[in-house]
Amino acid sequence: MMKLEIKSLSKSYGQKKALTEFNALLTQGVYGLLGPNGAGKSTLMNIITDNLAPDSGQVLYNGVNTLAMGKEFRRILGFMPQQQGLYDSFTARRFLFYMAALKGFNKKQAGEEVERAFSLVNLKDEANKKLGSYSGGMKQRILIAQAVMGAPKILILDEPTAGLDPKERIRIRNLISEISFNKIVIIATHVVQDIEYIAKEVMLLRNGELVAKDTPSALLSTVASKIFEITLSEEELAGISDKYRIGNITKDNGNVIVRILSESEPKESQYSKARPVLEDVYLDIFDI
Amino acid sequence: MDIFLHEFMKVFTKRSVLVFLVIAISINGILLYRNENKGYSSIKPSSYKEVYKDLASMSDEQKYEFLKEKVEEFNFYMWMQSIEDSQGGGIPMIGGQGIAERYGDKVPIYTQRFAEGNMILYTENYMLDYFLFNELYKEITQVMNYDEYLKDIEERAKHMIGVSVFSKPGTFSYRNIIKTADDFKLLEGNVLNYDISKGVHMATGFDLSDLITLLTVIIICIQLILIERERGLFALVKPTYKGRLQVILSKIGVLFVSCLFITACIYGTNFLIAGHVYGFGDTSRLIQSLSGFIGSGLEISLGTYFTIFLLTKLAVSFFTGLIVLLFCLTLMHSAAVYLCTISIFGVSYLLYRMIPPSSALNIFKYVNLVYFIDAGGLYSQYLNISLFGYPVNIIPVFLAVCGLGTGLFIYIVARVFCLRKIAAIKSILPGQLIQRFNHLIKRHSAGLLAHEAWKIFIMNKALAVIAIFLFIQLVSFAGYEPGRSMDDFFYRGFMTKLSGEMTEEKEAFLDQTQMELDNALTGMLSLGELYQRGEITDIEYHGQSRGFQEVLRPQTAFRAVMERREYISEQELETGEKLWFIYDTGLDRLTASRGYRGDLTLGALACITLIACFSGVFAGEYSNDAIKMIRSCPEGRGKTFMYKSLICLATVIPIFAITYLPDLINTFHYFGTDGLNGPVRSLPHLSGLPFDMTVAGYLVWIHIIRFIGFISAALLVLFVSGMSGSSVNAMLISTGLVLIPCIAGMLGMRLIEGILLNGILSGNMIFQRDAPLLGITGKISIYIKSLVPLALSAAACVLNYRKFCVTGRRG
Repeated sequence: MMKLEIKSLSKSYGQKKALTEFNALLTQGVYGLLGPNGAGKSTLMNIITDNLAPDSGQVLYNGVNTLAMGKEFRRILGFMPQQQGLYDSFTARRFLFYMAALKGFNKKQAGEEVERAFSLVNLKDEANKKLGSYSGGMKQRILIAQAVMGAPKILILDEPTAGLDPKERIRIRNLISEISFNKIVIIATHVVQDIEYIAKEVMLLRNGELVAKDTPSALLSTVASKIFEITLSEEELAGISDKYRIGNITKDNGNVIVRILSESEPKESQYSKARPVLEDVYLDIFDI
Repeated sequence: MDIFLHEFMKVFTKRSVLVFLVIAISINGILLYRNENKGYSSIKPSSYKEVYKDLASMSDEQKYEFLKEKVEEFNFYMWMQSIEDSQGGGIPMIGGQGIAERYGDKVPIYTQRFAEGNMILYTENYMLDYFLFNELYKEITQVMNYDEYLKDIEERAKHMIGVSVFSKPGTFSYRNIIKTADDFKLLEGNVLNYDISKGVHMATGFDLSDLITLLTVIIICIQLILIERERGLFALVKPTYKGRLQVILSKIGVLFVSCLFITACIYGTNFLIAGHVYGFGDTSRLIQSLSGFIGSGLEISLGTYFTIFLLTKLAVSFFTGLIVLLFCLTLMHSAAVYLCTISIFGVSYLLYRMIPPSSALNIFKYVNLVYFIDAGGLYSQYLNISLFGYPVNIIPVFLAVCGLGTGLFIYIVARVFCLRKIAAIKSILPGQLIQRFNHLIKRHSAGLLAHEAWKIFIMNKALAVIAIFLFIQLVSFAGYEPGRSMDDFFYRGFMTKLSGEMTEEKEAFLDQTQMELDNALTGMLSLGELYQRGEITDIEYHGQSRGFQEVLRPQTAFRAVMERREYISEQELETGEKLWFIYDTGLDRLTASRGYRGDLTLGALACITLIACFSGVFAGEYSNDAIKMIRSCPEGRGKTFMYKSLICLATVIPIFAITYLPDLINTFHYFGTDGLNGPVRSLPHLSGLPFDMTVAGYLVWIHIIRFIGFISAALLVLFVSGMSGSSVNAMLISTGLVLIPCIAGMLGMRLIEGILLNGILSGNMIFQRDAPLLGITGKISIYIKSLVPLALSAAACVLNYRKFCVTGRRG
């Protein structure tokens, strides 16, 4: 079985530790990488894709160091970086053909892969437009398209749904789910819902350290007894954040329903237990 | 004020800007100091200081007498030396009534001093003292005779009005003569005091300071506008409440303060160093007392001149900065900003150099950035230019142009910034045409090489840049006029006839021609005497002299031929090598017999093209962060790097051809190819060449070396592109490393003429410049000078490769 092993990865920028002794064993399936800004997600992804050298540790693919594999590792790798500037004067088609050339496809393969990628991200009609005229969401989709070309065995996606509207977000989420068969997919994101239903395991990073790695259901079970919804008047809302860790706040018929994270049952009269979601785990672990 | 401070801090807290400023100010100071102390002037500053120390206690009359006596004394020594040389050594015999009368009782004193070699010297030898005193004597004579100079202007004006060409009232010439005389009349009665001029010239005449100032101003402009625009920050700034007019006015304010700071630092350094090396003398004296300023029409003291000089530099650098700001705001591509900025200076320089002072178009010569930048020229010479036939002094014209221009550009820059939309990439082609074009090229190549070529030529606009360069070269090619004289016509005739080695037949021809010319000259002289004695009539004299004149027409050309004959004979005696007669008017151009300006001009044009084409090749991948995506692909490292580099190096070939082919074709077309197979040392300026080769061989070699220069320059630009990670920064750094030394060499700064890539871009300089390299001379030095820059550029290429392909700590 295919496996990607991350062994004791450490990385510092001057005094700041970006990654400390990171260990993980990844097999086929989707892995969510969650963490606040500066937690070390991009550093980890850059090291896996060999865009950054670690201070220590290594990444092994089926037991072989990926650095030693070099080009062979990159042949099975698809990487979607966080959206930066693209080649604005390129048409989307030219861009994908260029990426196909970088991936070493022959002409026939390139033609087939480019068309398949356009279909996957639903951009066939916009293929001959310049990337400079694309919206943020379209650029995001074209970056996903280039990453999935050639059916890579390892797919690394950095913030894949950033800038997408809800419909596109669901589409991309489903797309990732579809193509994840027979692949190791790592998704770094701030948006917990993106991985909630598709991730086989979720890795939570804080200050460069892996603080939790488990299946969503296992992670949810850790907070199952801590999630409540209390109903308050608007006047009572003011002091509530001093007592509890607050999740969502919604209004309902002049009252306010506050989702809280609490080790013990709330003292307020009107409360009910709530079904935990991954966002609650995030709140719990990162102590927000 | 807050916005201004933020804008100021944005620029001046950047490490790259601060490092550049420190380097620029240091380089300027060091080169100014070295130029004066170890430059090519043989008389050292300490010698001038010594003389002025001795002169300090004297009145102007005493100084004049002292210098006059010194000139006479050293004239005597020079005369003694020439006699000694002609007598083959020993103490020369003094004789002749003239000398005794001229030097009187000083003769025995001078003779004894010369014999014992104990003259009082300020320099290393009496020859240099002779030059030193002559220079100072010339200066003090002008100062002492200022009244006569003014009278002379008045009389010349009266005389010229009497000449028919200038005597028509209502013409520019007539009005100019009247105005000039009137303006100088105001200076009558002024008394000039003599003092040291060298310090002032050193502080105000160092051209490299102007180049460094302008480059720094351009960098500030780019930081203020282009970098922010490229990062899309205007979209963030412009929708805010004070995000338009206040922001752009603050940016313009920062530009002004930066110009003030740069001017103060660069020229302040110059004043400090010049003050230390020479001193400025009495700063309350009138500027006409400075050497070279006698023709100034301003009644100002030296101190005031310093203030005006600095204000002028500030005004011109600010004005230039505003033009660059406008380019940064309006042009979409950084290569276009670069080319337009360079073009502004290039066109100004060409107009300034090519328009004669007396031309009807001289307004373009003097109302010109290059003339304004050289502030000294504005104030040292009185000058009127023609405005609708009326003479107007250049200084008010400068003030008006600079003042109004500055106001106008502030308005335009502010308006463009406020009104221009933050557009997505817009093509100048209509939409339908683009659609059709995209349809045509729908079938994309799957080859990486083709994609990289597309990125370099189309996306980075290298194709457009090369097309512009080709156009410029074709225009200069078509407009080339050799301007051959009658003398050259005869010279060509002689040299074509004599072409090849010296033979008895050719010797006989030369002797025969010499005899014919001598006879004609003698005949002409005799005829003149007969005419003067009244033995022949006017008609007879003119009739007969015409025949002699006809024979004597090739005389000047023949003298040059005979000099060449002498050179060939001397060389044969010295080295045994049989040299050729070669018609060399065209070859002189190609082999830089009169300096390297032509070589460096072509080199500079090519460098501009290389910089504009290649600065974005690697930088573009880093600045948009596509590098991470590229490097994650199987072919995204070594192969991509290799293709990018190979495409650029292959592009060097057409750029090289476009640079030199027009010049070669024109030269061979107009001057022929005779003598290309002759030994290269047949050309006197190449007599010291340590290689046996033909002229053609030499030309091939200099072009091989130039090609190495182009490759080195391209590799250097690619290295900077990779290391800087920004196209704009890459352009600026490359300009500093490759282009500025070329321009400095073109401007005649000999101290830095041969630095960095200049030698191999010229080709001729490598062979002809005799400066030893670490004590090594001859063939080895030539090999080293040719190959070391290439080796260094190749090493830079390896570093670039490592950054692109090998994962580093920063990724």
